[in-house]
Amino acid sequence: MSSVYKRINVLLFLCGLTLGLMIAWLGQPVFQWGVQSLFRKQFYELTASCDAAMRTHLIAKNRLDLEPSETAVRAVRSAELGLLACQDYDLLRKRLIRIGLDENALSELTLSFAEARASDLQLVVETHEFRY
Amino acid sequence: MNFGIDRLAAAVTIVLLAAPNTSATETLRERMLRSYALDFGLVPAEETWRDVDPVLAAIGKELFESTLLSSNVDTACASCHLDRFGSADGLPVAIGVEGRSFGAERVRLGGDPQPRNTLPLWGRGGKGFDTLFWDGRVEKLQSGEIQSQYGAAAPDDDPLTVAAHLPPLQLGEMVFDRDSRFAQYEQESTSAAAAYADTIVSRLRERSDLIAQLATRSEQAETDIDYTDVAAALASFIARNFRLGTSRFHAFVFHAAPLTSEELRGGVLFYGKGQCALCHSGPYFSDLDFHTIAFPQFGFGANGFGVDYGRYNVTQNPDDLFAFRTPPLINVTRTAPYSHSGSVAKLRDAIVYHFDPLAFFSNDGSTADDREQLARRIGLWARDYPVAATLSEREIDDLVAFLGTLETESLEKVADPQ
Repeated sequence: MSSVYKRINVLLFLCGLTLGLMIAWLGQPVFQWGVQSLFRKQFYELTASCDAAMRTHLIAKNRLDLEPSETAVRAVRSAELGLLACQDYDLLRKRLIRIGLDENALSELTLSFAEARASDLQLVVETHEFRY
Repeated sequence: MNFGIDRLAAAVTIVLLAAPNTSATETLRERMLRSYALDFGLVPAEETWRDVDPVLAAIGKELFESTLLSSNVDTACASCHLDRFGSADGLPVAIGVEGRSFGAERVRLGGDPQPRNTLPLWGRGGKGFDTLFWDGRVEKLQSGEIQSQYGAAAPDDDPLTVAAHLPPLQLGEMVFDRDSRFAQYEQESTSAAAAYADTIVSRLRERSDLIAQLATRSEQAETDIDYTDVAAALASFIARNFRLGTSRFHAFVFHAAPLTSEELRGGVLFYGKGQCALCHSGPYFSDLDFHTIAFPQFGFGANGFGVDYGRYNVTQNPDDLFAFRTPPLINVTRTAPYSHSGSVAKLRDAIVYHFDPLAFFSNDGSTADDREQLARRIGLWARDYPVAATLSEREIDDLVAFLGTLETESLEKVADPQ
C-alpha cells in the first residue's frame, strides 16, 4: 500500500513540476501580451504625439532660419515645449520595462503601430530598408 | 481567505508598479507653464486696467441697460450682453431690433438676426486692447490714429468709445430699419449717423435724467452733451465692469496657487504641442491679429448668402479674406456657441476645428460654392499651420479643463433690460 502511495506522490510531483514548467514557459509571453494590450492605446498615442512634436519642431526651426520674426521665435519655443510629448513617450517606455516588458515586446508595439498607421507598404518599407 | 489576500497583494503590487512616478516631471511642467505664460505675455490682471471714472461708469451702466438707445425702444446693450451667457447672448448670431426675451426663446420669438456672433466684453477697454469687433473695424494703430468707419473723423481717440458708437447706430442691430421715421438715416454716411445720434441724445434727455447726470459730471450744459459723451460713459462702464479679474490661472502663475493635474497638462498643451498660444497670447489670450480657422459659416453672413469675408471687409486686401480677429479666451467656457457666426456649439468641437477642419464635414446638402469656400478657408489655415497639432480626446479634455481656469467675474451684475 505504501509503495502505491509513493508512486502516486512521485506522479503528483512530476505533474506539478510539468505544470509549473508550462506556466513558467507560457506565463512570460502571456504576461507580456497582457501588458502590451493594457498599454497599447497609450503607447500608440504617445508615439504619434512625439513623432508630430519632432516634425513640428523641425519645421518651426526651418521657418525661423528662413523668415526670422517674433512669431517664428514663439513657434520654436512652443515646439520645444511640445517635445515634452517625447519625454512622456520615454517615461512610458521606462515604466513598461520596469513592469517587465522586454525590448522585443516594446519593438513589437512600435512595429505594430507603424503597421496600423501605414496606408500602404511605404511606411513598412521605410522602417525596414537599408539606408546608405 | 489566504487566496483572497494573495490576490489582493498581487493586485496592489501591479498597481504600484504600473503607477507613474510623476512627482519630478510635474514640478518641471509647473515651472515651464509659469515661465511660458510670462514669455507669451501674461501679466497680473490689474496691470491691464486703465483709470476709469467710477461715477461716469455708473451712468454708463444705466445707459447700458436702457432700451432708450434703440430706435424703437426695445433693445439695449444688455439685451445681447448678458451675465448668464458670460456677457454674450448664448446664440449663434445676435438678434437685434424686435428681439424679445433671452437665449433660445429670443430666436423663437423673432427679431432681426445679425450676421455675426455676439462678442463677450471681457478686457475691452483694458491696456493694449485696441482692436475691436470680429473684423477689427475699430482699431487704434501704432501711430495712435483710430481706424474706423468714421475715416479721418473718428469721434474720439479711445477705440472703445468709438466702438460704443456703432451698435446703437447700426441698422437692424439697434436701429429699426422698417420704421419710416428713420428712413432718412438709412444711408451709409457719417452725417446720417450723426443726425441719428442726435435723436438718441434728445430722447435720452426727454425720457430720462441720464443726460442731466452726464452734464453734471462733466460740468457742461445739458445742451452741450452729445452722443460721444454717451458712448464715453458706455465705454467707461464696459472697461470697469468687464476688466480682467484674477483667474485661477493668474493665481497659479503669480501666486503659486495649484492647478489640477488635468489643468496642468492642458496648460502645457496650450503653450506647447497645441500651438494655441501662437495666436491666443498676451494678457487677453489673443494676439488681436487676424487668422483663418476653417469654421463652418452659419446664417446669411456679412457678405450675404452664407458668405463672410471677415477682415477683408475692412481692408479690401485679398490676403485678409476669411480672416477674423483671434478671439480672447477669458471666460471662454461660458460664451458658447463659438466662431464668428456661432456655428460651433461646443468648446471641444471648436478646439477640434483648429487642427482637423474636416472632422465634422458632411457633404449632404452642401453646394459647390460651399465646398469651394471651405477649401479656400482650409488652404489659408494650412498656410499658417504647416503641421497641425492633432490632439487626442484626452488632450482635448485637458485643454478644456485648462481653459476653465481662465474664468473671472464682472464687478457688478448687469440687470436685464426693461
